[in-house]
Amino acid sequence: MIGANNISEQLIDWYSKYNHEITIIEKKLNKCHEFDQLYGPISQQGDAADLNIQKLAGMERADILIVTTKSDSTNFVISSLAKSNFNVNTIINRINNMNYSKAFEENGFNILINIESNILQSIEQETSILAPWSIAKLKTNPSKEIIGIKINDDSNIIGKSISEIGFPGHSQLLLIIRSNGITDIPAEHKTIHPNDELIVLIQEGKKEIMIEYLS
Amino acid sequence: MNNSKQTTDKNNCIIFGNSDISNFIIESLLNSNKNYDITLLSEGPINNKFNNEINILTGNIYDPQILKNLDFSKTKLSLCCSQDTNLNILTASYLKSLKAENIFCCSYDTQYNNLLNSQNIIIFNPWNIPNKLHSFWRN
Repeated sequence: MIGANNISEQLIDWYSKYNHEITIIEKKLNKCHEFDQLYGPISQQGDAADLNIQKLAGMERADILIVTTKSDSTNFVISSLAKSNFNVNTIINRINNMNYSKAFEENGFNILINIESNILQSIEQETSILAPWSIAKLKTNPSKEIIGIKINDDSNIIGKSISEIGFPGHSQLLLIIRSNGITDIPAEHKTIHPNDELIVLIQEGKKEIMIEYLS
Repeated sequence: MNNSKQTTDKNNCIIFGNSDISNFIIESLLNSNKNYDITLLSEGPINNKFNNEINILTGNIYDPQILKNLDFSKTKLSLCCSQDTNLNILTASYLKSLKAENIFCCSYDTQYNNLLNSQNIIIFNPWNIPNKLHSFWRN
């Protein structure tokens, strides 16, 4: 992981439960000491955009690299060095300005985390009456996406069975989460109730059609 | 010529970043007696002495509004000249993915040479400024 910050702290807590070997590369010496005291000797002090520092940190043994500095160009250079010199398989980048996402993706860095997008997604989910939120994007051909949709009180599909609703061909209902939290496997005779959450597999880009169907 | 679109079909030259190096390069291109159509793109406001001789855009290369004013298929030279090496590498790699040709990247650190060479990006620095850019002139 690059950068000793709140994100890496949470990740160390989580990964160490599963006995993974973790190394943090951090520029500030005092931050390195702080992390070493908390978690044992896990930090390598230095600039992660320096090839020698990556070598010292044992980048050649890394299965996953997580880059979370606040500079997109620094993240890009660190990731590029790790990929081209050490063949790191999985590289996860924090991206601060989504305008840069195309540059990352075009260079094979597809796992991008944008904090603003995540906050927006959480807000969408909390206020999700007929505003679908994305759960996962599948790398299929054509691309597919799993979305969640909360059913409004006055939706036309309330009281109808799944066979009556007839979902569009490009979609598949995967799960119904009832308003009391119980999960229900979809079957033709099951009916939709107010405030149910539907987990649906759709073809990417067909969200609007799905909303129309369920409103 | 501020904020104007590229105008010619050939010999367009795009320079990213307003710095001493970019000014030096602009000057040498203008003095080469070849009629390059030069566009300077800078993230910050520019007060450039070549205001009347080149196109100037203020913004980010990744901004779709900026991108639509740039046509890389008609661009002969792209030079990343900001003072931030990392930003130059990110920009140069992005240009490569847009199929731009003759991409030059100002790098103050030799450890990135392999990375840039592997993408056929030409490296330069203040001690080794490309001085025969006009050889890329296309008739």
